[in-house]
Amino acid sequence: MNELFDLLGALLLLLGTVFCLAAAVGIVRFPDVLTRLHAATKPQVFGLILVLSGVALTLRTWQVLVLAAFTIGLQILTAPVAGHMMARTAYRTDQWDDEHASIDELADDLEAAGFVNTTDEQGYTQGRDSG
Amino acid sequence: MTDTQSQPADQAEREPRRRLRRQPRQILLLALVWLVLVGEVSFVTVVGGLLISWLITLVFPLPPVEWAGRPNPLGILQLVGHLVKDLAVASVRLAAFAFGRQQPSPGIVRVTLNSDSDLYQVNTAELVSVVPGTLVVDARRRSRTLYLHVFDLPDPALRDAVDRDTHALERRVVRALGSKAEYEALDHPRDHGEPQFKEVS
Repeated sequence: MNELFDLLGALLLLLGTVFCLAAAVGIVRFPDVLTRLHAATKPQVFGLILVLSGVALTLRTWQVLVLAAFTIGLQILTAPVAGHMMARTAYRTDQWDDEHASIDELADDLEAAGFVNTTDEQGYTQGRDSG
Repeated sequence: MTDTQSQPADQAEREPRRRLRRQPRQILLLALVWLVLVGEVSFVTVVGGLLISWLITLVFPLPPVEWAGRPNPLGILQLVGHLVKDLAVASVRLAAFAFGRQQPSPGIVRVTLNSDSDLYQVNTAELVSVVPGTLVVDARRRSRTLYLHVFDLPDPALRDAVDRDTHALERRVVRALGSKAEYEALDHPRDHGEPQFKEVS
């Protein structure tokens, strides 16, 4: 029985690291901030869940189990908040790839609400692109 | 988390008093987290944890949460089961994109929720960000609208699928946390033409 848990734990650890690697590769390869945030939230959280489950299965003590459960819970609660704050900022300062977007229903509503994007006029985006 | 007992105080007095009001449940919960993190139960860690938790609730007070429902164990189990499954599917899909050659074509979709509660909107927004290829870019409280960035949406017609998935998730959230009346109210969404004002005092 112990061998089975050890094997299962090791497999989960391996699988978890593969997902964490995928998250890292995604952050490098995806085209813009918003798509990169997807990589930073989903595969990263899933990889962490797998790694922690693997650790809990390998060590098999209550303390580790409770700590792992807490970590997973807090990660699921906090990752979306961090992702949302960055996504909102990136969108409102126009630092995302809107050329390849198929639809953007937020732009219509923001425009209707009187939101004007000033990033271009102040030259921030321009300066960064040419420099 | 906080109790919503009305206080016999006039409007001017209420703000500072709420800030100082003790929130025993929240403090206990935070102290419990502290104890797990420290990993040692002794007089110093217990008292220290309670002190730190009290300080945290004092410095970062949370607005009271209006909650008419009750937790439903079966619903929560279903919610968590779906969460793990969706998280796995979303992660595999994203990993395929990360290692593959295909470029994603994103899109931003507006989804208006059927429920009308801060708690359910927050939970739906949280879970929709972890789950099926979506990320919350913006949210509006009055109309209960979420703006979701969808990772891969090659055809604008697919937006309806996102809408459907999000409403299914919302349904699971309300089933797990809400009362029966709230769950049934999902089938009769309120009129979105006139946004309801529901300020938390």
